[in-house]
Amino acid sequence: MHDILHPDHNRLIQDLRRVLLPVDGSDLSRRAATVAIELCRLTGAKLLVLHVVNLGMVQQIATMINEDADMVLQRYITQGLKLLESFKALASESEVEAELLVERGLPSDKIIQVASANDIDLIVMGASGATGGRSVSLGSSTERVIRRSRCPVLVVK
Amino acid sequence: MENIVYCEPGRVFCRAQKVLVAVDGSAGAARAATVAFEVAEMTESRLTILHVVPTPAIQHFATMANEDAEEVLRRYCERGQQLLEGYRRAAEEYSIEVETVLERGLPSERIVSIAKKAGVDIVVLGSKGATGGNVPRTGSCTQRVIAGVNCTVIVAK
Repeated sequence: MHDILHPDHNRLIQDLRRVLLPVDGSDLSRRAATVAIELCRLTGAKLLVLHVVNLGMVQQIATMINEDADMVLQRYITQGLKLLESFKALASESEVEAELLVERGLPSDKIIQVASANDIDLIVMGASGATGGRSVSLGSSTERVIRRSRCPVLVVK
Repeated sequence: MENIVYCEPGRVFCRAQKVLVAVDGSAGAARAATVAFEVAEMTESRLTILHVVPTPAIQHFATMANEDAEEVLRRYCERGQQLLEGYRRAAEEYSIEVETVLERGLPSERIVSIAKKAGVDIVVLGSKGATGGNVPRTGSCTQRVIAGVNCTVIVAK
């Protein structure tokens, strides 16, 4: 980018320091991971991989199948950590350093909170997630993140 | 409404013959059901009480909670039937004809498809469901149904 005459101080990609990658185990979140890792490798930005346990959904399904929500939640968090570890391994293949974080709550809320608490420059996420099924073109979490985020959002399709 | 002799095209309540209410066990859905009972009685419509077992969410739940998806689905469907039975009993206070339907799939998509196929005149929904928690404003399923159906939608708050 040497021959660009106008030195713009608001360059998005060049100034990337911290990238947030919210994942849920869906195929699209894996694709988003590839894109986020690629960006981090190119720019040297740090990657924060986030998994939000959808508390409302866990409670609803646990109630419907007559199970103890706390027990289910424990297993969810264990699995969530495993999921995050797999993304960390993927990132280290490209020599990208990844921080991992599990949160619980409404995914869109938590993503926004984590992004502002960690000075995130860019959020990379899939257009829809694991619970939306195939027919959803833009999932509700992604939609809410796009609307409410103060930093740019890269939506992977 | 017995004195209405002429029913103008475009009138909603005097032309309605089929009302659909979708329930999921949330307080919002319970309020919607009461409205639906009222509307069905008032318009002498046939009422369909629908519960959609959210298969994509269950699939994801089973993976994350380390459980057998078939088993989770079976238990969820059982409870879904109980839920519908509860609503059927609640409807007995009103003089309306009621049918209950248990479906599987992505809730918004199933609700829209059933409303269209059955030629429903009025769909009644809660403004947000059981999984949303503190979702700002309207839940995504309700949003998608409002956008997807061709008939009148009543959103109970």
